[in-house]
Amino acid sequence: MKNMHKVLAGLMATGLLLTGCSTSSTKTTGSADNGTAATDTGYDASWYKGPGYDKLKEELGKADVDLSAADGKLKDILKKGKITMATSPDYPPSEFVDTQGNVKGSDVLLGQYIANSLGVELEVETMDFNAVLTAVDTGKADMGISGFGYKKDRAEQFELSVGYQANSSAAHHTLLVPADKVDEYKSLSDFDGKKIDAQANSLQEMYVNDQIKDADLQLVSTLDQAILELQTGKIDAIALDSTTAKNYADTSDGMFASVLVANGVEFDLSQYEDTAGNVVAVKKGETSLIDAINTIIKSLPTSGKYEENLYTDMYYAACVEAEVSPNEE
Amino acid sequence: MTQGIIETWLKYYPIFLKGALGTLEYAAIAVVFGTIVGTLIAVLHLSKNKILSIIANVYVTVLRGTPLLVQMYIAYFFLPMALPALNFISKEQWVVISLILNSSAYVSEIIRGGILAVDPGQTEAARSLGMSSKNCMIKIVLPQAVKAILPSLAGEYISMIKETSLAGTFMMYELMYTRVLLANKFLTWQPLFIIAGIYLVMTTVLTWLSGLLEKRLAESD
Repeated sequence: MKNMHKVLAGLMATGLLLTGCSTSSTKTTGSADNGTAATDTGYDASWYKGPGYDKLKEELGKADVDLSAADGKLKDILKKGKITMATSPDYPPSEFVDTQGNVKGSDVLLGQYIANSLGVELEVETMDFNAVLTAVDTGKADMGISGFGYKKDRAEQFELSVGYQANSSAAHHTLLVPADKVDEYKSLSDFDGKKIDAQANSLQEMYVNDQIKDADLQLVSTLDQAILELQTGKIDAIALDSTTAKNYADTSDGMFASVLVANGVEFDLSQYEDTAGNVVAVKKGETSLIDAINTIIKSLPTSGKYEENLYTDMYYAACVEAEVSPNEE
Repeated sequence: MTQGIIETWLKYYPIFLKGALGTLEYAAIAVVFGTIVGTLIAVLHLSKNKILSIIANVYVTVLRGTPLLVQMYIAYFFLPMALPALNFISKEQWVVISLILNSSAYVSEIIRGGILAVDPGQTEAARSLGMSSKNCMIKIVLPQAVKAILPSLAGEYISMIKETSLAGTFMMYELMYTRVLLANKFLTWQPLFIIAGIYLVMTTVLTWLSGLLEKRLAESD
């Protein structure tokens, strides 16, 4: 029986030790250690003229915001000295994780810029895409920046900022299909009645519903589920933004193709108001906070350090860091 | 296809191994602390006090009767809203707490079963010798119950290994999360096979070790 005591005591001691180890290893705050040099993966970064992701992060600077009338959540943020941003890191180069688990991306840099402008620290919380909206709604996160597009029902549930965007080509959306079928799709109507995947609650879900007749639309929670279904022939196409579609096509060894690249087929965005780019989401009713964020976003087009638009700087740096090609249509 | 899997393994094995280590750690924490909490719950459940017994019963029923993922979401998103004093707890801590509480519900039933499996004659003999109820439990019943409890506890650890995969939904670094990391490199299906393989290796090795443990315990019969 003495042995049992020793064993149980040993187990408890191990448990306590492990708690210590784990809590330090679960920290995913961005650290300077990225070690993801583009050298060993054959990624061609010769097009890039900027200083690199980490350097740019330090050089971001800030926008001028009048915080004297701060109210509600903004007041709490200023008091706490910290703003929490929720994001879903499955969407390079906007948000992604490197192989160490550090969160990076053009949206993360935008979050940093917002934090700088408010004079507070940035804290990034990662979770799946739909959890990001829940987090903003329940107040667990102060703002959600996760490649959100403007959607009417979203605007009713949250305060959405004005649009920010890398360049005009970031606002293209198209479909990814098997490469050997790409010539079957010369226009959007060729997708009528086809089985199409889209990420739940995404812009593309709305576009498919609005623009493709009788489409058999299926929703997935993460894009890699959709890729697997396309690969195994369970579906005909995936509705994606054009940059992601191009990157999946390029890295698929000729298995997939983007119908935008091949045949110029894309969703028609002219029928939607204010579709220019992505938006930041904050809790409904926090007008003081969204006003401040809007002021900050409006300063982007002329605050660039290397390009004219600062967000373009962020986007290019994130492309290189994620080793994806920027969409230069 | 196998080539893609092998290539992915050779290139990224440190990531998978780090994920596997994370899984083993989270499962261990869940079961070790789950055992501590579970013992308390088991004692409450077996108590003569009706109220305490019912509280324990509800605890076990709810935590065993709802999916772990739902428990994690409720814990992380809604408990701090209901009890603002808990706002200092981080996302990672909430996920670990959920794992511990969930495990404790299953463990408490294992412990309760082990205690009830001890020959009531032992208790009778101890009490008739004048031993207090408390001493009887601690010195006579529990030590003998441990023999029935340990193998089931090992089974719970093996179960937990698979349950911790839900922590990956909250972007915590365990084995399932490596799928998110590598999806960022546009590797969608290759990691899945490797991940399944590693889980299989872990559970098989642990099942075998648990079998050895059972044999050792049976020796004293």
